[in-house]
Amino acid sequence: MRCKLKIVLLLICTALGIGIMILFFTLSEQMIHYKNKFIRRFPQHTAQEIHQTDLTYNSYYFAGSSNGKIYLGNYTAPLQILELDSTLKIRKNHQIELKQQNLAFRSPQIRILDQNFYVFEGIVPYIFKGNIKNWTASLRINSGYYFSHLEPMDSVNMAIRFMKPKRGESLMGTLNLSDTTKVKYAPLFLQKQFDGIFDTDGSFHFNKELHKIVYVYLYRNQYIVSDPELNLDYRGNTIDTVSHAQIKLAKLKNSTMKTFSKPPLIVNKLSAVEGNLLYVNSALPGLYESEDIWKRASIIDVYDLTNSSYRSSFPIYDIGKNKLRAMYVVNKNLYALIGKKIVCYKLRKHLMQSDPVNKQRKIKND
Amino acid sequence: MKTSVSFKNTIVEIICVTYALLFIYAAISKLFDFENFTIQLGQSPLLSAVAGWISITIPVLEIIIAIALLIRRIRLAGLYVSYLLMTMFTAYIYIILNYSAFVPCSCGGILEKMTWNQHLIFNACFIILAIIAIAYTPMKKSINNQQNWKS
Repeated sequence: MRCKLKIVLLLICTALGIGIMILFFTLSEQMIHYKNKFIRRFPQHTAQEIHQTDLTYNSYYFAGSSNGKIYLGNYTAPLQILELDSTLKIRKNHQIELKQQNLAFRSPQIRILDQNFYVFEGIVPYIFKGNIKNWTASLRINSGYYFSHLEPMDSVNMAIRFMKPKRGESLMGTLNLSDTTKVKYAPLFLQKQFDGIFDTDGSFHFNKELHKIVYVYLYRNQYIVSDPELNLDYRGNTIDTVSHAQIKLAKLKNSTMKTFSKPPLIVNKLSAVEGNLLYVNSALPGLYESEDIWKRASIIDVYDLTNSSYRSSFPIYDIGKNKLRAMYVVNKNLYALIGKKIVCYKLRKHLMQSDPVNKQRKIKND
Repeated sequence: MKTSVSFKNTIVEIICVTYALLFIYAAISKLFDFENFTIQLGQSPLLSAVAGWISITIPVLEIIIAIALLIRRIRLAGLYVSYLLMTMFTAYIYIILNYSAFVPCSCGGILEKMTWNQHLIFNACFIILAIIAIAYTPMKKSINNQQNWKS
C-alpha cells in the first residue's frame, strides 16, 4: 500500500516535471519568434568572418552587386566605382563617364542592379542610367520632386523616397525612367508621427527574390513590406519596444530649418535584405544580454519576411575602435564596411533557427 | 526487503546530505553570479519566456529543498521535490539536445566542464538516488494521518 502510494507520487512528479518543461519550451519558442518581447537569441556560429581587405579609405558605400561582384561607390570620388570579387581579393577601378555635364553636381550617388548602373542626386534632381560594360551614362530624369533616396527595382522602375514641395515631408513613390508620366506616389506608405521628415526616416531596399520593397524606420520599431507598385503587404515590427519615434526638435533662429534639440533615439541603424530574410543592425540592447558584446560588436537581428517572425541575432565585431558603418547581403554572404576595411561574413542556414540541432554534433565546443 | 532498518536509514541519510550539498552549491554559485545566470536563462531556448521570475525561483527553491532534506520530519516531501526538480532538469537537457534549434552553453561551477550528455548521465544518477531514498524512507507522517482519520 505504502509502496504503491510512493510509486504513484513518483509517477505524478515525473509527468509534472516533463509536462512543465514541454510547456516552457512551447511558450518560449512561440514568444521568441512571433511575440518577442525584446529577448534576443544568439545561436553560435551562424555568421563567421571569412574574408577581410583593407580599402585604404573610409569613404566607400555599397552601390550594389552584379554577377557575383560587389560594387562600392565613394563619397569623396563620386564617379569612381570599385569592383571587388566575392572573396575581396581581386579589385578593379572604373571611372564613370556622364554624357551630360552641365548639371549642378554636388554629391552624386550610384546604384547598380544587374547590368545597369544609375547615377543620381535627389536635390537637383537628376538620374543617369548606363551599362556596366562601358560605364557611360546618359541623363534620363532632370525634373520632378526632389528626392532623398533611390533604389532600382528593374531596368526602368525605381523605388524613390521623394520630398514633398514646401514642407519637405517624405513621400514614397515609384518612377519609370522611360515614361515619366508613370510616376506614382503612395502618401499612406510612410506614417507621420509628428514632423514627417525625421520621424519617417529610414532605409529601404528592393528584394529581388521576393519582389518586394522593404522600408525600415530609423527611429521606431517598424518595417514596411510592399509590392513594386507600393501596395502594402504588411507592417512588421522589430523586437524592440520603441513604437513611437523619440525625437525632440528645435527651430533654428532666423531660419525655417529644424534640428535635433537632443540626440534622437536610433532604433534600427542599418538594414539589408536577401531572399526571405531581413537583416537589421539594431542600436538597442535587449533583455538578458551582456553589455560586453555591445561594446565590442554591432548586433544584427534576422527576420523572416515571409511570416514577419524574428529568427536570431549575431554580432559583427568592431575593428579597432570602428563599428559597422554599412552592410550588404548577397549570396548568403554579409559584406560589412568597418573603418577602412571591408569584411565578409558567411551566413549559415542555421540562423533561421528552424531545425533542431543535429543530435550527433559535438555540442559543447567552448 | 530484508535490509536492516539502520542500514536503510544510513543510505537515506547519505543521499539526503549529498542532495543538500548539491543544491546548496548550485544555489550559491547561481546567486554569486546572478546577473550572468539571468542572461544565460534568457538565452536558453526553453526558458526565455519565463527567465525573469524563474532565475530567482530556482536558487531559492534549491535552498528550501536543501533545508527540507536535512530536517527529518519533512525529508520525504523534500525528496519528492528534489526528484521533481531533477526530472525537470533532465527533461530540459533532453529537449535541448533533441528538439531545440540551438544549444546554449551554460552550467555553473564544476559542472561547467561537463558536456550535455555527461550532464544527462549525472542527472540520471541523481534521479536514481532520489528514488532509492524515497523507497527507503518510512512514511511515518502519512501513517499518522491515516490513523487520525480512522479514529
